[in-house]
Amino acid sequence: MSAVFAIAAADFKDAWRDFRLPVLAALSLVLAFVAAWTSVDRVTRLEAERAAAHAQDRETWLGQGMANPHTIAHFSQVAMKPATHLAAFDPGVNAELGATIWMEAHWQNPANNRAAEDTLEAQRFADLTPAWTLQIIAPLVIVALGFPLFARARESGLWRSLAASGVSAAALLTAKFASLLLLSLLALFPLIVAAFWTPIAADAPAAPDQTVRAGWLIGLYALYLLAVIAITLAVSAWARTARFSLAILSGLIIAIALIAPRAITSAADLASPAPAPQVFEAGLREGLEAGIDGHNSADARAEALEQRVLAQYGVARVEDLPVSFAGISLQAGEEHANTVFDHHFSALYDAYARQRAIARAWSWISPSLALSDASITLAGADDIHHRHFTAAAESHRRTIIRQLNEDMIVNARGLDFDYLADPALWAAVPDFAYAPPALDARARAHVSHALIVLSCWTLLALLLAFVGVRRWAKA
Amino acid sequence: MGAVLEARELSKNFGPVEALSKLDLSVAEGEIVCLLGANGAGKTTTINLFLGFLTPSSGEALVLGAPACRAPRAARNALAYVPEDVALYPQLTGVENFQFLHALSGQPKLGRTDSLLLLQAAGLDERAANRRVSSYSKGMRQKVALAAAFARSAKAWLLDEPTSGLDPHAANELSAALRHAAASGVAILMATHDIFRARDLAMRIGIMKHGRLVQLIDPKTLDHAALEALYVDHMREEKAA
Repeated sequence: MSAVFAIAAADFKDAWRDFRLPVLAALSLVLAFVAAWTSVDRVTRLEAERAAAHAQDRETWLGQGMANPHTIAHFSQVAMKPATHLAAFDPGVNAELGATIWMEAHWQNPANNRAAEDTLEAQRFADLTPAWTLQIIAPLVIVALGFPLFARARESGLWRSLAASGVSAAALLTAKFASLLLLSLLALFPLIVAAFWTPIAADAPAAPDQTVRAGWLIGLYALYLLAVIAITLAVSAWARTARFSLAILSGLIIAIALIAPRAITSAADLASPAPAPQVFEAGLREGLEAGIDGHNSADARAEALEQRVLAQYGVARVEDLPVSFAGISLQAGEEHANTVFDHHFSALYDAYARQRAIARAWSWISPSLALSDASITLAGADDIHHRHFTAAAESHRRTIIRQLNEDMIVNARGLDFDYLADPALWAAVPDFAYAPPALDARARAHVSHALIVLSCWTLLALLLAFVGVRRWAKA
Repeated sequence: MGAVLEARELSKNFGPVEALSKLDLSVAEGEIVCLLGANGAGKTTTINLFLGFLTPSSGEALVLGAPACRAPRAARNALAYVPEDVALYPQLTGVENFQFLHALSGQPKLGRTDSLLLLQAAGLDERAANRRVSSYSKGMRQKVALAAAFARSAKAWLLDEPTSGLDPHAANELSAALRHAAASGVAILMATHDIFRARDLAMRIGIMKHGRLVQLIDPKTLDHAALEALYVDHMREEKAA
């Protein structure tokens, strides 16, 4: 044990005095400050804007005065996705998927207000978030600290003295692991503090299972850093020179943390493409054309509906109906459209899910991808959570439109689109209040997968490091 | 006096190359044995076999009667190894490096004062001991290793070309340190090219050639000139071969 402590202490002093540790800790401090400040500012500002916009939207809705319900249905409301505490840590794909949905009649709109569309790709890449710094910067810091631990000792001959002193391969590996862990914790301390502080400081609503999610995030990121430490030791244990160790590790980290995640997600997009927005919209319109839209009385379906309704009320003419046929027709059009929307949006989100499944399967070659996949899920910033939000918004849209159409059916007999409803009707329509979901089975599958991938990488790398140390100790 | 180090028909082949062939040699407590020979003569291979870094092709390398290859950690715990070029942590001071090397031996921790005393005994003064090793000469680094060897109470020291590159003053200090260690009962096996240092220090000198111990000499029976002549003859035969 004293040998383990002595080696770890000597490595620590060496890294401190040759300025590797202070320089990397200073770099980490600057990045942590920028990442935490910009992330807290982003989420707090977005949440404040969302709350203000939502309040204004509600005020406008309530202050519409007397109007035809269907006119109001076309104006309708806007659903805004709230940011969450953990999205300050990892904003995930929120910027790509959008945050607001216009809930108008006849049409299920996709989410808009996509921050990604307002920024250049290069700018987004440079966006510093605590999650990004831990996924990309932290491994580079660990490599910079750990690449010479075995390789330089071997180059200088210190390794031979260590081996000749009777220190076992296991003790040597334990010592180097302890020293790299200690060095990494010190150098990354500002980034770790920023990661904890950012969600706490962000003024945003909490997910219902926030504590569980935070616990998983801490566990997975800790495991990821341990995996990178193990990989660094494994390469250093096998490399003949420190320079070779640095070259291999730099290439490896760039490959698994930067290139592989992008290449794999791009390949997944190609393997299971989601329709382009124009194609998607054309599909929706084609589906709607096959049915009725409520405005087209010449439509064959409208004719069939009319006959059905006349038969139901036992009258021969629409004018004799005790209700507004226009209202019935509008609601029937909505219900047909809903089946079309459900079909197409379900297919769209299934395509996203398939893309993620492909990326997840390939994440065995990239622990960074496995981690980021679970991280965006735990932060509530992935397609699963987005689908939950769009489903909630769509359900609310249907509630609003049905409520307005039902009012027309009951009160607009003989007036149809000339009917003006009392503003009390707008107040009776519920406000859109969204609560993010707890982790479901699909989300938990992403988290479990990351846990398994990261554990396997850690164990495999430690095994490789041990074999490498033992090989050199004998040679 | 019992043999601390003993080679019995010790051989080592690297593929078709016979690096060491049927070496029979023992080093007793308090004895200094020097192995002389050109590069590739088998001196370092012999040391590596005693350290358990290599497994013999045949024969045995015994440390305190136990085969080093079967229990390398036990063998290494009984040995102190001083390589030709001692590698230390460059950013640590001499004292810190000494304490580091001492901690590896698993012995009780030595305080700063005791550490400085042992370093001084090895020829490194306090001022130098408190400097970072990055500014040390080869001889100064060797003194740190020798002090650590003293402190770990090893039964035997293995030295691989320890005088190579040392100035005469540093080489004399090394000789004094080795004599002191031998006087305290340490068995010393030293591989060297330095005929005069070997003649000066050793109780027996082995001349090695092509992995074989070709002659084992009592240096008291030869003066420097005779030893040199004998060694040069062997080397000339080697070149001719």
